[in-house]
Amino acid sequence: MNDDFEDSLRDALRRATQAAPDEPTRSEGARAYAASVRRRRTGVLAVGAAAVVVAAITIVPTVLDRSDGRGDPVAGRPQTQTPQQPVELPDQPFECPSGDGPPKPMATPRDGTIAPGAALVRVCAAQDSPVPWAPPLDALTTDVDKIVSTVNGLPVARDKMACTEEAGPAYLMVFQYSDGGTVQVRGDVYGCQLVSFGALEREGAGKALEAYFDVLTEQRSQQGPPPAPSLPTLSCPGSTAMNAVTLIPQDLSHLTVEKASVCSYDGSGQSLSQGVLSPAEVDELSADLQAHSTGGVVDVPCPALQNQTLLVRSDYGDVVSLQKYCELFLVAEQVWTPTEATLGMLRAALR
Amino acid sequence: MDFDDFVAARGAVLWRSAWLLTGDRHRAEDLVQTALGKAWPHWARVSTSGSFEAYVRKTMFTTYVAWYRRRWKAEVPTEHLPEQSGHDDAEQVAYQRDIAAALAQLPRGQRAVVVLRYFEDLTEAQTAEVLGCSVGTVKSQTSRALAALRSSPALANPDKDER
Repeated sequence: MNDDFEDSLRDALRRATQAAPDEPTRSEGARAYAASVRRRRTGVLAVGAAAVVVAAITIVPTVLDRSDGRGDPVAGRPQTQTPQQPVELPDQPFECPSGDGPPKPMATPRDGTIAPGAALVRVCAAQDSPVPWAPPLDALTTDVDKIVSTVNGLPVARDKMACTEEAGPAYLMVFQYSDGGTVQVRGDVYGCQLVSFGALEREGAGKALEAYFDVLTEQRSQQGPPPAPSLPTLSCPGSTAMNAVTLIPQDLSHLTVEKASVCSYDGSGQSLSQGVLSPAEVDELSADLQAHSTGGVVDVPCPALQNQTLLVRSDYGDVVSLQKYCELFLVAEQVWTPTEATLGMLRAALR
Repeated sequence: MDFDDFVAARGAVLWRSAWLLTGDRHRAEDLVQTALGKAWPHWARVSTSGSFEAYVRKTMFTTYVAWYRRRWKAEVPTEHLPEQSGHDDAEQVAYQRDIAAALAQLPRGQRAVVVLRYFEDLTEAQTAEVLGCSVGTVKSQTSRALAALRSSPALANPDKDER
């Protein structure tokens, strides 16, 4: 197809970009970016084998010392300057406790600082989270010290703070070292946004979680999704109050859906019915989501609210909860406008 | 030509595409520097074959498509569109804002396809190669993007702002 509109589009794009700013530090900025990535990813490898030996001698005792969470951290040392050695994963990588099991007791960093050198970090939903949410299934094993630096860099909570009293999700961020030792902090993504290190508290639970998701996104772009059959199925919660909120950033127009369930609730929020979509239906749903999702919010009133939720699991295992709003589905400032065929498919799944 | 020469010669060209992708000059600069930073370690290997610009372009577009909404969730045209060198009249700024707004309505994949096809003048096959997808996907994304852009006031009536 080559029509007048395409020609005018070409002209319009050229005309809109007539002038580009002169940026004399562009190549310096690019080098700085490359250097920071190299520093984070390969650390001491870049400085040669001799340095590796020296670093191993100095870093390993630190890791061991921190394995119980009580050792003396790197107070006063600029953490971003510490090269992150490729860290060996523990024999038994930490997994989030299941919803029913008792929480596993873990050390909290006594002085409010996480030691560098962790092999992995994982976020879990706190079992007493005021609002349920579904954490990522994958652990972060790259750039872990970036998260350590972010958390350690959060300001210590002020003595007198006025906090809102809304409920929100809470998480545990668990750092695990090569020897299997763990330390955890707790973050409340509501109120004063406190991150608790035992007795000490810092401000910025949302910021720490956002940093985690940013690095996780980068890790995913390098590693790709896990095998689809390994992903757990989805079932609808018994009430809307138990519906997990979506915290992991998602772009619906690029979301690959592996599993999906549609849930309907009565006026009081109790479960009425649910339907699980077949693999073929999931493929259809996935294509429709990618094709007909946009960013934005809906400011049109919906006179006949339907208490319906579509739960989807992405190829990375994330759970995304989309709320039905008339003929649309909404999540996190994104709107999906399904086709009639997809709406019919969802209706049929509920019967 | 070394890396600095390349950036000096081609940086503005990359920036223009980045601005069309992001609709914001600071994010455009961020995107260009990120792409250059990712590509720079491969300069010695790729530049000898004369394809470094294509390498950076591919890096830039795939970085843009992969970047999460959270990071750029305020992906809207701003009041501060590309700086003009001496002739930043209000009409041009308004025109740029209209184009940015028209592009902003597209999902990221469609926007990338539009910029590659209609600004970079790549073929469907070349566009597919840059984005790492099939030609069929490029065709369908192009079709959807054009349908959306046709209803955009700035593009539906391209002569509106002609001076």
